Amino acid sequence: MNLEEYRILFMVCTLILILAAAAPVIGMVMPRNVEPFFAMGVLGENGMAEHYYPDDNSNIRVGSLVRWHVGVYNHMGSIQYVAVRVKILNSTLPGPDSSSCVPSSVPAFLEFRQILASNETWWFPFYWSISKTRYLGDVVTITELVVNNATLGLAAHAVSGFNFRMVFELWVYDEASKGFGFAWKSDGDNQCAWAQIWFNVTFLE
Amino acid sequence: MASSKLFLAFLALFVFTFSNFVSGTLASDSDSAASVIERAEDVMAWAYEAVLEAERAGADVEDLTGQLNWAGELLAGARFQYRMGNFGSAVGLADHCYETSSGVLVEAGRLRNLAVEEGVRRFWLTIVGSMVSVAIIVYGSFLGWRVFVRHYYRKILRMRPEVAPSES
Repeated sequence: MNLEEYRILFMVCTLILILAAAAPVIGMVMPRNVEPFFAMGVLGENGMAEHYYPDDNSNIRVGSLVRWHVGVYNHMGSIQYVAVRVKILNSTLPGPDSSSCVPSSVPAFLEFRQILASNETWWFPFYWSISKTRYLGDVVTITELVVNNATLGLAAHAVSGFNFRMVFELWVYDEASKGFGFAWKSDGDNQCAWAQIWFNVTFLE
Repeated sequence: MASSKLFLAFLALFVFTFSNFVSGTLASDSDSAASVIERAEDVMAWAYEAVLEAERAGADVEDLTGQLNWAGELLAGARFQYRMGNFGSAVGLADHCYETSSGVLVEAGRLRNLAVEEGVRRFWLTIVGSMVSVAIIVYGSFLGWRVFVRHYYRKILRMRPEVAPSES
């Protein structure tokens, strides 16, 4: 190698060392690009994606205990104040819309709230049973549910007791509006999360 | 006959007055419980925002998050008791939630201020440290290059030309 080549080698090594020394400052100034998101899911009685119903039968008898586990994962990069709103719908009532991130218009009968740390997964049990129903014509109305040992009154109906669905919507506290919203912003787009499980109500033993 | 009619009239008046009094009292209990719960909810939301600010400033908010979640459980209990018509219990739980959230709000503000000061200190330390390192590297490279060039020329000048043997 001649002197000129040695000079170029020296300059390149010096530049690399300068970049290494300036890396902490560059790291402070340049933001990390991470896509923020939430994830939500419902698992069955053993905390797995199976055995959602007693005896694996979606025809739920009055008084029969159903054990689910609901989980929410926070990947938003900061603590988040979330609420899981639970609704009972049937096949005709409008559910949440994922494309426009509009929640179901049916009011929630129960809400669970939690403040999640970044990268935290929150699991909570959702053990429920139907304690009271009303049967009028061919419409079955669930008038009382017991959820996690708490008795709640409601009025959810379905023809012949078929195609009820338990809907879980994830609502997130928004600083700008000072309230909970169904959607969150991710790279400029609105995102939302919800889950549902269908079931029927039966009176047969 | 007249006395029994009078008695019935008094009884009707008493029942009417009492039911109005009871429903009025229950309504005001229900209203005041609702407003106490609403107040607790508001403070909890403000406390959450304060903890978020502290986290953004670089503070460790794990403990505060735990306390806020405890406040959240109290609030959920208050709402459930309200729904069951136990307004006294609802108010007690909501008050407890309010106190816990207020404590978190104050502590989050304190942690945020500490984190901001620490952040500014760390920022200047990083800037100065980087600048000094770059200066040392540049000066060291300049000196190193000069020593290398001197050594290179000395090596060249010590070389003696040799006549290569001819092949013919």
